[in-house]
This record gives sequence, C-alpha cells and structure tokens, in this order.
Amino acid sequence: MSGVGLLAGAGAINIGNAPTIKLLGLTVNKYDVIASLIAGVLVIGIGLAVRVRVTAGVPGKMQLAFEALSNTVSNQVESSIGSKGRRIVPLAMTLFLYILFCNWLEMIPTGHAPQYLPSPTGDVNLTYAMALTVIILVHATWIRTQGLGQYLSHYFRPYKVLFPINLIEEIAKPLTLALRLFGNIFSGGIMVLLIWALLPWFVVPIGDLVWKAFDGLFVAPIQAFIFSLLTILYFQTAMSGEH
Amino acid sequence: MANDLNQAIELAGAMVGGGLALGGGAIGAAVGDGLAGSQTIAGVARQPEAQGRLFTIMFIIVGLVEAMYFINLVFMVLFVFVLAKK
Repeated sequence: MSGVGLLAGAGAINIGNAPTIKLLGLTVNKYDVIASLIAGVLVIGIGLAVRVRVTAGVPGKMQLAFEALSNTVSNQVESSIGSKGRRIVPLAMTLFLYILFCNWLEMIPTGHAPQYLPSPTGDVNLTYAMALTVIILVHATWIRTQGLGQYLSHYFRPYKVLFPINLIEEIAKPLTLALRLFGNIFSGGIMVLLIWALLPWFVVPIGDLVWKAFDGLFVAPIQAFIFSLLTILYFQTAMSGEH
Repeated sequence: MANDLNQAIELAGAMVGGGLALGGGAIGAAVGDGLAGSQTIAGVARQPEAQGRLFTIMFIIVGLVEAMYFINLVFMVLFVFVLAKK
C-alpha cells in the first residue's frame, strides 16, 4: 500500500473514507448525518428556549445574545437590500447559527478513527447541499423579482462578449461558497489528526488545545459569518439589480 | 516490479503537486491578507474613529482570501491521500 508512509498505512489518518450505511439505496456517511441532526436540534432548541422566555422587561443573557445577533443580521440586510429583504433575515440567521454550531462540534473530542461526532460542515456533501439550496433560492428570487427577460439579459450585461465570464461567475458562486466552508473546517479536522499523530506525547495536549481554541474562536464564527453575508449579498444582486 | 515503480512515481508526483499547491496558496493568501491589513492600518491612521467598521471589513476580506488557500489545501489532500493511494 502506497500512501504517506506509516501514517496513512497505519490508518491513523483516514481521508475520504467515512463510515457509511446504505439508506434507501443511497450511501450515507452516518456519523456526519447524526452530527448534523444534533446541530439542527441544538439550533431549534435554543430558538424555542429563547422564545419561551422572551420578556419585555429585563432580558436574560440568552435573549440579549439572540437580540444582538438578530439586530446585526437585520441591519446588514437592510443596508444592502432595503425593506423588501425582510424575508431573507430568517434565512441568514439560520445559516449563521447552524453553521456555527456545526463548526463548534469539531471542538468536542470524540475519537479519531472513526470520529463519532465529526464536524458535519467538514463533509463536502453538507456544504454542497447548503450552497445549492442557497443558489437555487437566489436564482428563483431573481426570476420572480425581476422577470425572466431581465434575468436572462443580465448575462449579457454590460457587454455581450462577457457572456462566458458571467456564466462562469454564476457557476463559481455556489462552488466557492461550498468549498470555502468545507476547506476551512476540514483542514481543522486534519490538523487535529496530524497533531495527535506527529507531535511528541507531552506536546499533544497543549497543541490540541491551542489549535482547537484558534479553530473554534476564530475560524468557526468567521466562516459562518461569511457564508451568511455572501448569501445576503447574492440576494442583493438578485433583488435589486447590480449594486 | 513495474507496478511498484509506477506506484512510486505516482506518489512522488502527488507529493510534488501537493507541495506546489500548498506553496502557491500560502504565498497568495499571505500577500492578500497583507494588502487588506495594510489598507486597514492606513484607514485607521487617517480616521481613528472608523476602527470598528474597518476591522469588520478586514475580517470579511481575510475570510474570503483564506478561502483560496483552503481550496488549495483540499486539492493537496485529494492528491496526496486519495489519488496516490490507489
């Protein structure tokens, strides 16, 4: 078996072979799907918890945090799309919270091969699915808001000869959206594997802690924020023409 | 014997390709981040009260620039761990 010397051969670093089950004829990465369901339940649970305890008096901490997040997203949507963008605010908030919780699942140590709760956004299937959903929504909103004629003619603006470039741009949007998130989170997981496989035993806990702190406090919120921000910007182009 | 040689050549090619992908990606990401950072410093030097807004924009740009590097990293992992093992 070729491969990277001892590491891949010993199974310490296992890429692209997640444990799968067959469900209705499709192959499903079972631990990734379980982790994504857990993250979804967490998002819904926190939303319901805030809703039950919402009060017009002195708010609790969770309500304050939720209000801060909601205000930030609302201001961002209003400053880019305007008042008809109010439908986008729940989508942007859900994307941000869901991706944030999915990314944070990486910080919980649940074994290495197999990892029982991997970060679902480190699985390329989830990010492709999210990007595809968002892009289909954007194009549908585009056609519905501006009409089919305007939508088709935008590919030929500002010059007819730029049609291939516009086409490539429209294809690159979902691809980069998915691969950006996937690459960031996936590389975090790989780094943890490398730290456990390559560093001497007395450095491993410190390295693990430092890397997970960087990953969870820096990379996770930024990537979630960028995904939702780009969603808002794509909807801006769709709803109101070029900025 | 020939199979071993073929495998060795594939592995070597994958390693070199992966290294090139990572090297180019690192240079590009570093230069892009540096440009964004330098403009932020210039902006804050001109107008210190704009620091909050400029920081936000800088982090957005950093996130977008680093995406190129991470896409390169994904391709390196593809080359080294998946394609060269076959």
